[in-house]
Amino acid sequence: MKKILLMGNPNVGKSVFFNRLTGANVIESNYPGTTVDYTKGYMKGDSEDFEIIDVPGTFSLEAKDKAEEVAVKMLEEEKGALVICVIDASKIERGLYLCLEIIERGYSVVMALNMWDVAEDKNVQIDIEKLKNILNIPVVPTVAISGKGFKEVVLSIKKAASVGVKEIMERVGETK
Amino acid sequence: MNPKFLYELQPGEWARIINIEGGRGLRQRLYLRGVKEGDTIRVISSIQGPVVIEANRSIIALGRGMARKIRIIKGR
Repeated sequence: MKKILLMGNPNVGKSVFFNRLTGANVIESNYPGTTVDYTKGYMKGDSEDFEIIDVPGTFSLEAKDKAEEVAVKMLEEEKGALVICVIDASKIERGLYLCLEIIERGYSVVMALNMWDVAEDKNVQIDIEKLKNILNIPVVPTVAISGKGFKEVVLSIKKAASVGVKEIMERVGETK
Repeated sequence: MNPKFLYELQPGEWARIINIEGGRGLRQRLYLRGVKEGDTIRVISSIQGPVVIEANRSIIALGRGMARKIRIIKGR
C-alpha cells in the first residue's frame, strides 16, 4: 500500500486534513504543537488504497525538539512515500522552506494551500498557476474544515513526481 | 530613553527590526517563524513573560532572551 505523509509547519491544519482524508477523529485544536506523535489511517482511492500518516508539525528538517525529531524520523523511515505538504496559505512564505527541503530530499510532493478561505479574508493573493509552473508539482488550494479542494488533492496524488531543486531554482530565476 | 531592543517596547508599539544579534541557530529559528531584518512588527504583549509580537500576519511568542537580541528602531 502506498504511504502518504502529511507534513507542514505547526498549526496549519494537518490533523484536520488527516481527519478529512481518513474519516478518523484525532484531536485537533487551534494552537501549535497539538500533534506530538504520529497517527496512521487509511483512505480508499479510486484504484488503490493509501495509508495516511499524520506527522507532527515542523519548521525545518533539522529537528529542534522532540516532536520535530518524530517528524524528521518519520520522513527518513518512509523512503518512497508521497508527501502532502500542507501550507497555511495566509502565511505561505513560512511553509515554502520546509516544502523545498522535502522536495530536495527526492520525495514526490503535492502542495496543499490550506486555509484558503482565511487567506482570502486577509486579502492574500496567490498565483497558483505560476507556483505550479515554478515547482512543477501539483498545487491545490484547500479548506480542510469545509472539505474544499479535497477531490483535487486525491486526484493529484497520481500526478506527483519527484522534481529537482536545481531546476526549480532555475525557473525562479527566469520568472523574476 | 529610546528603546533599542525588542523587549524594551510597550504593548501596542510598532517597530522595525534592524538586526538580529545572535548566532546561526537563533537567526534560523526566527527566519523559519517569519521574523527577519527589515520587518515591521507590532508588540502585543511584553510586560512580563514571553514577548508576543505580530510579524508578517503571524503571531509569534519569543522568549525574553531572544527578544534581548533583536535590535529595533521604533515606529512603522
